[in-house]
Amino acid sequence: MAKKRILFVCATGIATSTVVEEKVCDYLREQGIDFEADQRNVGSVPSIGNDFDLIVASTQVPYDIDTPVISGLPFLTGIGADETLKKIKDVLTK
Amino acid sequence: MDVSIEPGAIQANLTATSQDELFSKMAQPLVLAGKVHDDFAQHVIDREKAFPTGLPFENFGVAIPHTDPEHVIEPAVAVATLAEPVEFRVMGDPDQTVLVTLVFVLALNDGYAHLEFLQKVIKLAQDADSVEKMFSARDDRSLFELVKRFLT
Repeated sequence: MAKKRILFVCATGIATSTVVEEKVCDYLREQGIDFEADQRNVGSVPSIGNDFDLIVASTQVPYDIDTPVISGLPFLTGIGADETLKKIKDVLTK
Repeated sequence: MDVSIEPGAIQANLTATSQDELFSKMAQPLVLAGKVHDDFAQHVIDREKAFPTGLPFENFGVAIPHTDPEHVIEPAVAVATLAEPVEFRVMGDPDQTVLVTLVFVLALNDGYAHLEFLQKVIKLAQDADSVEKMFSARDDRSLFELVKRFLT
């Protein structure tokens, strides 16, 4: 299976997406999934979003793109975090 | 550089009737301490309108307003518990609103360098017992002691 590419975005690209990225990447490494991650602000999604297999966003993504987008909010509130990790794994391994 | 937690920037039972007033009151000590530029509050206000930061927890709402790194001089945080809730829109889901009573204004300029600090903020917000202690702090000094303990 080819290496999967995940893009983490938030409004500034330095605050919440960093926390979300850490949690998701720890999980994916535990699961033995081969992936690489990048972190940007949401404004870069139209230009590079389609180069990724998945976008995990802790802000609204107001763009029409083909790449699936999953909300990173559960990793900040802790509510629904496990279900979201599973959803991320499903998207990357389907 | 470590994220600075100054006593003046930690305010218990702060009164604010709007986000604008709240951000101005929380940013002022950071401006006075030379941690952020004079117009920091306005940039936080604008940023919050475009990218809201309300986080709905089970029994309370938390907000973590912040803005772009160029408005920050040295990394710092301002924390306030609110006497009356202020309405925020939910991060990533702006059609939803949440009543917020705990606010962390993050003046950060490098996400990876401050990852550990951010994780502590998020972990603290997720820990209902610690948050309850913060709500019980009667004055700025007691809240400062708690924030210092929880975030360093």
